[in-house]
Amino acid sequence: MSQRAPVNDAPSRLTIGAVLLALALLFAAGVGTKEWWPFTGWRLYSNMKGPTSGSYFAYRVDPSGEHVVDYHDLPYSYGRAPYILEKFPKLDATERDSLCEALAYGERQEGRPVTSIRIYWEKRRVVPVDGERHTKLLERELHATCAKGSV
Amino acid sequence: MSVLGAVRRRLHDSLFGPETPARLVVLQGGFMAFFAARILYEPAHRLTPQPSGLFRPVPMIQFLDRMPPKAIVVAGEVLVLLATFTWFLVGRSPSWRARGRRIAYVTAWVVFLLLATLPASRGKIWHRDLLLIWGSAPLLLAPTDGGIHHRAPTRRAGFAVNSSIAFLSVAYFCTGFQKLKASGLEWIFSDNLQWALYWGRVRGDPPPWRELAFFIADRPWLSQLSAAFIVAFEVGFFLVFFFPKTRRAFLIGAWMFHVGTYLMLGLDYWFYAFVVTLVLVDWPKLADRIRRQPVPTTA
Repeated sequence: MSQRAPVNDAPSRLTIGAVLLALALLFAAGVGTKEWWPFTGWRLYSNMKGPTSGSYFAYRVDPSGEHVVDYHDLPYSYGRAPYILEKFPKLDATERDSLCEALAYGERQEGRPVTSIRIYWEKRRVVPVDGERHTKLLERELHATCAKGSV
Repeated sequence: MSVLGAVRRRLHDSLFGPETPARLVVLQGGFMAFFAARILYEPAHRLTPQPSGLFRPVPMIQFLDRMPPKAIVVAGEVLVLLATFTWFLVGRSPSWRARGRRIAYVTAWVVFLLLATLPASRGKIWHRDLLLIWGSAPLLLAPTDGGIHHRAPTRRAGFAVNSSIAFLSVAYFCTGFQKLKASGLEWIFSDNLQWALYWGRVRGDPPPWRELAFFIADRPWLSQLSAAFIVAFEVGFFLVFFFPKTRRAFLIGAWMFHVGTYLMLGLDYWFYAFVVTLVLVDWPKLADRIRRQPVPTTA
């Protein structure tokens, strides 16, 4: 059994060039915080966390009042809807309507009545108590009421 | 030799150093198995049907205005599973092995990448499949004619294996680098990780072991020590590329890190740990070493 590499067994120039180009792009996107998926800026928990956090929350409205939209009670395909909600102020009117209609549709599909969807911005403080995480509402602001009148 | 010359020499050796075709075959087979496992574990067809208002396509599939129909996604998943099966099947035939494995590997990688665009098109960057995609990418152009018993090192096999390690190194380095770029050393030397542990996933299920998260969060010194470990592990990961002797330590570090983030934050990055384990360990060499171990005899 030989442990020496044969002399002429180097990879082709094309292979080397393609691999190094992809590697360079991955590095450039990673260091430059560019999002050209699958090239990515690799921002994983990179921002500082503090005791308070502000987020957008969707509420289903029915004749009995407001109920927070719980994504665990919606189909699997809704799992990342909260992240689209986080971009709510940047969405144009069509995108907002489309998002609201999607949330209303999902709620109705699960058998819950919807007269409208309300989007709030809420600031909360995390409160750890006896090994459980609770949050305390500090601020709340209504940003939109949408999906109105659809049945 | 100048410092620059020494660095260039080290870079060249790290990238083009020979490896055994057996190790490359294990890597290729391992990645094929991971593609299949990932599809079975978290099938993309569960994302369909989805209202178009929830679809935010990544640039690669910008031409789509909604999730593709379930039948197409299922067909893609079946194709990856068939390609995986084929890859292992044709390995038995010397006449079919090289071409068959090349077609199967490229098919599985391309279709897996396309399927991975679907969870990535939901409004947030999807990192969970990226280490698998990038770690396996250099093997697309690697030789496929090797066998598990080929133990004579070659530079072609070495370049593929070393490139895979390089891609992993860049991914982890950039993850740590971004923490320092966005937050500076405060990411470590502040109450940042304490609050991250108290919050957990803001909207997700509670993590499996919140008590451990709170145990660390309740102790500022332990939180900062953990933060230092995370950044050192991520930024320092490139050492595995230049200094093979560090690989064992980073392998242990990867498991500590990913098991820890799962238990304390509920973040499912198991396949990162699996990929690191597959790529950093020289499995044929390990198998040979185990085989050579003398069997203890009873008195």
